[in-house]
Amino acid sequence: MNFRIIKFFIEESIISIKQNLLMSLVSIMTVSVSLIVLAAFTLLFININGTIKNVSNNLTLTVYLDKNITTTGISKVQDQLMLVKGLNGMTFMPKEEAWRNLKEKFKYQSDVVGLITNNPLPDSFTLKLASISDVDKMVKELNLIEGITDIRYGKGVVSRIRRFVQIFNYGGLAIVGFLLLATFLIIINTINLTILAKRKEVEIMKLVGATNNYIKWSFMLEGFIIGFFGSIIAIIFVNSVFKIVTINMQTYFPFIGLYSKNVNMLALSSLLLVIGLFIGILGSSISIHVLLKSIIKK
Amino acid sequence: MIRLRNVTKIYNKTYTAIHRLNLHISKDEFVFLVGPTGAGKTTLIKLILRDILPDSGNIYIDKVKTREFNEKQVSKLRKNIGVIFQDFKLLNRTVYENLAFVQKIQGEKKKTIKENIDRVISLVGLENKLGFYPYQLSGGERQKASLARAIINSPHILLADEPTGNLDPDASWEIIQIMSKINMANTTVVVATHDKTVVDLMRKRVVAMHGGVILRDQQLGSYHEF
Repeated sequence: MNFRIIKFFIEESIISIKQNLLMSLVSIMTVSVSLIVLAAFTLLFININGTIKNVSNNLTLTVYLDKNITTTGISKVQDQLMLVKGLNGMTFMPKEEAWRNLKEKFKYQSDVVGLITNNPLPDSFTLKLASISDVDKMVKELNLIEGITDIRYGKGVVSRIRRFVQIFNYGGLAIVGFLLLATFLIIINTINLTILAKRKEVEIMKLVGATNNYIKWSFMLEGFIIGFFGSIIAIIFVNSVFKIVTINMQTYFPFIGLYSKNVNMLALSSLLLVIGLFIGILGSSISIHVLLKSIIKK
Repeated sequence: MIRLRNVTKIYNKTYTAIHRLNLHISKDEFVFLVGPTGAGKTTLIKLILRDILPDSGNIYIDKVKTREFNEKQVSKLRKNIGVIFQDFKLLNRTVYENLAFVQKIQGEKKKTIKENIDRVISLVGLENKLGFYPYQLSGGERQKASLARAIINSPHILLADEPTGNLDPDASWEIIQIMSKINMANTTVVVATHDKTVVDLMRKRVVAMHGGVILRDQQLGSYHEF
């Protein structure tokens, strides 16, 4: 393929887009809108996933020690706790401090608290978990440590979060998959319509001696151009909206953590470009293949 | 040059458009295919162009069987056969771009393209309409543009399917005269037509068809048998 032919393909694609400007714009906008929806969902997915992880990471577990435990006993428990895998830190709460905190908490009900003369609370350790995934195994391990009498954690919350994370991950992947498929089908259909509108043109091209490969190349290049501009619009839109949302969220809702602010937007933009080009080229090549087949079959 | 041997073409397995047809057209001949609608004239043109394949029999162009042509050979064949239609089949581009397109497909240089366009456009007399779009031209001018496109590659064969079907008598005669000139420049011309006046005035070979078979094949013939 020489330079003149390549130049010809590029010229032909541009002429074709210009002549079918409305259909080409519809194709470009379909690519853009589909990619924007895909990007928006991906960012939403990242945010929800981040929130879930944050909740999981802040989960704590409290172990209560024997009421009559000695200082040596507490040190022994602490030593053993340090050997437990999956802990992100621990805080010791002496029973005296716990009693003070309780009284402070119920200072307006001092008459009720005053009925209790002796401190009923035991010493305790608050353990920060690295992950909620092995919490059951950890609880079993902690139960074996001498001096620990009780372990408290949101068992129900843990299992619910774990289940939700699982469903969200699989469901999210499935939704992204379906969105990709829908994007692909919509774009193929739009490009198909654009190419079918040129049936007469393709027939004339064949009559004057253009080979199938020749016709395919010029249409695939057209698909490439549609995919390229479609993804560029989507990239500009997603990046601009993302910037505006991130800035406004930080200004007006600083208490809401945005996890997607750490997303590599360059990687996301590149991905959108690759998807746009891929479906543009594939969509046009499938459509022109079908059209040529129908012309040959007649 | 063109030879058809026992050629049969059946559409949708039910309608026989051409039935066991034998025809030989020599180099540089000018042949009119005449006959009523459904006689098989257009099918014959399409078969020679290898736009469709026969169900049985063979077609030879320059002694080469076209049935076995691959896609590249078909493309090469069509560069050697110019074709015009009643509905012109022009791309929605200027006359110049329509003519350049055929040349660009072959990777011709800009200079050669311009030279070839100058050559054919003066032959058909459309020098002042190169920048016009088909919708800005009259029927006769469109057919001239179509004719210029058909001969830009200097084909050995020129096929015309009802080239004067949409034209007034003057424009029809002009087109036929240009085709006659092309024929004199060593191009075999095959014209399928209903135009009685043109056929009778030209006094060329006439192949009369009906129901997919040849009824009459006459040198210096006329539209109807006398």
